[in-house]
Amino acid sequence: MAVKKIYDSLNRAMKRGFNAVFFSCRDLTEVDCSNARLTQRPGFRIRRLLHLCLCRFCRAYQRQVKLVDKQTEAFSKEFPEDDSVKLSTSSRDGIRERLRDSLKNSR
Amino acid sequence: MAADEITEEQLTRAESWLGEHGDYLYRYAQSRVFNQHHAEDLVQDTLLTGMKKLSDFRGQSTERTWLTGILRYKILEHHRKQTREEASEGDEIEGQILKAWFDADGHWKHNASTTGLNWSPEPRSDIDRKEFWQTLQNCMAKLPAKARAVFVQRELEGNDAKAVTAELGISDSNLWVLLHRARNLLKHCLQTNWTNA
Repeated sequence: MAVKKIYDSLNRAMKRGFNAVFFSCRDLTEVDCSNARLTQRPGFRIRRLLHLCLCRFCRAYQRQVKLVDKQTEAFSKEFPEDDSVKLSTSSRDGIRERLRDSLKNSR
Repeated sequence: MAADEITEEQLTRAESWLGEHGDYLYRYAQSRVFNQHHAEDLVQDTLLTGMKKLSDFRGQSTERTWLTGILRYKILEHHRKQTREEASEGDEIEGQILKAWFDADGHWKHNASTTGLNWSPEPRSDIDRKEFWQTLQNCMAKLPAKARAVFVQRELEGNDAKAVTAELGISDSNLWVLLHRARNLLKHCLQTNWTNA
């Protein structure tokens, strides 16, 4: 029990030391959204680079978020060109009717 | 004839646009608002506006390009309405996700299913791509409206940060908070609902 307590204390102390030098993982996830508070700290770039060298979870997060951005952008460009998706017949008829109504209403 | 009176010629033109460009406009709208009914309404509004402003079309671009320009403006108006919602929308959901991801010291929890170390949002085939798109649309539809509006205007419509903050009436810091929220929620939703095994 005492050993576990000592271990936990050491573990937390190491994590806090890591955070002080290399930033916490949570802080680093905000950086790509231009967290100015963090980016203005001295030696930010090198500290960020070293964090990413040491933390595979942060490397995975950065990679995955970039891929999500890339896939979302690809979707926004390719989906409008996908001919298999169409307005339903009822929607098309409804729009046509509204266009004709606007002609009647304008007279 | 009064200035705002619509002619048969304008109506005929609008009906031909519906035939030639209706499906494209619908897909474009759907890929920005992620709601079928809103997308249909936006197409209707676009054709009505195009019909009324037919005299403004000088043929310097194609009809489709011109109509898409009108649609993009309608989408921006739609997003403006959504950003009038409370800023705290999404706080709770994001808070739960961050609590699941990080321990008290801000480090990733060593739980592969949470961190998804091996997960990759990359469809590997055309069939995969269709499924991925459907999952992506479902996930985008679930985003808090304000975060979704900001994400679409910045990342999908390609507007710069200054334009987005000005058009949507939000501060610079709020923009980055909302983008960060949208990305985290989107990643979490995609990771939960789509695997590329």
